[in-house]
Amino acid sequence: MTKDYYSVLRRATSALAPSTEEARQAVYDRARLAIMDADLPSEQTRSERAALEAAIERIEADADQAGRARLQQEAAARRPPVVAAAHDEHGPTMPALSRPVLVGAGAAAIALLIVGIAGAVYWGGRTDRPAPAPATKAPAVVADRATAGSNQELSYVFKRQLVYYRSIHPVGTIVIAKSQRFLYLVRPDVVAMRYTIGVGRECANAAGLLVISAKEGGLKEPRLAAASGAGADPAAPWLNLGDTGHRIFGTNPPLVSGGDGCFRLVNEDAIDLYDRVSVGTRVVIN
Amino acid sequence: MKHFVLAAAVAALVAAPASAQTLKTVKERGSLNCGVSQGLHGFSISDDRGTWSGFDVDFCRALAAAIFNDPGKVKFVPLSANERFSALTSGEIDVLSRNTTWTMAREVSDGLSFAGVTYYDGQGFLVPAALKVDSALELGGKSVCVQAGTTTELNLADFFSNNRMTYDKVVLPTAQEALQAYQTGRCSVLTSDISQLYAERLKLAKPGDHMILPDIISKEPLGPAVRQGDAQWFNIVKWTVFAMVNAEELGVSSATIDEALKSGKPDVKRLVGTEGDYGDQLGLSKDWAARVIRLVGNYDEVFERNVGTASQLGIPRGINNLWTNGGIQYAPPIR
Repeated sequence: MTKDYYSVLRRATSALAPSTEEARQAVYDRARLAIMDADLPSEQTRSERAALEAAIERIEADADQAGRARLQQEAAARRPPVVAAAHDEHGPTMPALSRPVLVGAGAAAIALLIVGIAGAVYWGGRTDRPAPAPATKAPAVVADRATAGSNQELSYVFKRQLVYYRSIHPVGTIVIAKSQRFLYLVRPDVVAMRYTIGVGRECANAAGLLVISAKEGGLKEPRLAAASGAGADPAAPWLNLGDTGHRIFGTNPPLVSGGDGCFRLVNEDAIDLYDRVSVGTRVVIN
Repeated sequence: MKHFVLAAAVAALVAAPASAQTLKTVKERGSLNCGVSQGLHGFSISDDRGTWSGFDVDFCRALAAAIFNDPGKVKFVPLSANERFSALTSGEIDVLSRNTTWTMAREVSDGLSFAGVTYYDGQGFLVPAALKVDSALELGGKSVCVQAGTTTELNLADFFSNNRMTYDKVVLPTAQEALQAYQTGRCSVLTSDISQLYAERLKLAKPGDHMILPDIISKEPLGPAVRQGDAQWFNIVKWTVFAMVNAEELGVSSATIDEALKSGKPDVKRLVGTEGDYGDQLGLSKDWAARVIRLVGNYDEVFERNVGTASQLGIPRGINNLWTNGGIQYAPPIR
């Protein structure tokens, strides 16, 4: 019942100019998010995700080969290194800013069609774009790929990070911005820790002020297992929100829908957040 | 395209031949005509001797300082809400500094241009401290007094429904009656624009027993406006406001202006006019901003003495803090 992700991804990545690792990863992330947002039964999500990851590995293997072939060609042509560098410098700047976004959106649209989801997914609001790849590094990146394997690294924007954040809410408050798909933990000095979240359909109408009513799954061993990235871990920590039945919880591998509940984090992020908050923490959903 | 722009510029000149001369007119007249409110505590109010003071008043004094090196060369024209726009478009006043909200209609149909936002106001909530709430999100189930037929009433309904809360609405015909109803306990919450809530709070028997919540549920950006068609004058008003905000950000105040004039920091030098000729290009002097800071003060000084915690109103900077302090006051750089 899984789809041919390989041809979808190949189409999307072959349109990238240049096809840097970073630009490709952005495409993959969008596809991963599309599956996550599809709100499929969890077994199906897992199988779709597995198929997607297999396709990503194939695409990356192709890219490795292409990269090696290109390096050989370049060596054969004995292009002066200066020219090569200049060429690479121009490559990523302009197209990297616009095209991967378009292509990423296109790939997303295709992925959506294939998975067979309508409407429920939030693409338009994601205006972030992959950071332009370090200009002169293209060959090195290709070489790195060999050791990187099928890493599931998220693009920078989706990673946990400190951001400039104005808020009227007291330090320590969690602010869940559903439409941005970010969760902020308010810190002093106009700063917040930002986490990327998945928002389940059952939380579309959640809003207002809640408090963390319980923390669970914070035991040492399951947390270690979760942090190792060794697959979905039912013991990954979660935070209950009032008596709503909604939770903030971790899933693994990154950003795959895991059962019910609405606010899904990567396991590592769930652990990080778990350690920073206590029962009674205010949670503002908007 | 060029022809179109040219044609538009010509049309503007033909349509408003006199209005493009505001600075010249003001200099020839020897004083600035400034439209203010008829009396709003902290913003513009005149004492027994007819001396005007307040937050809005100080922005006109700043303009006079920039133009004449004398903050006293201002004639204040008290205006009702209905008169304020025609006073500006007719040329009776040179600038309107009267707690006026910047909206689209006022620019596209009333012929005004807002030069900036000196005060970000918005609707908020006044509650007894004894209610023990820190956020408007904790007001579920409470009774709220509100003036009838206002956008305030609509914003209130939206806020509660958006946050999945219920409330009892107590609607009163006037602001005064709303305050009275709050005072007599008919409701436990009063809602209005926050600057107004601070003024109302002063009228209560024990102001200290009441607090204004930090939440802002609507946008009311207030700032000075000029009539359209005089780009030079628009720039003067706009950059005077920006200079005051930049001065705060750079730590230049009326107390430190002499040191600032000796500063070697490039951004301070551009602000106070020891580098560059930005003031000349505005049609003023090189030290136009230094005059404003020396004679009136930077944004922080004007805020604190008129409406801030150093004043009777005691409004915290909140959203009006600089962007570097968690607020949204932000001025483009002078360079």
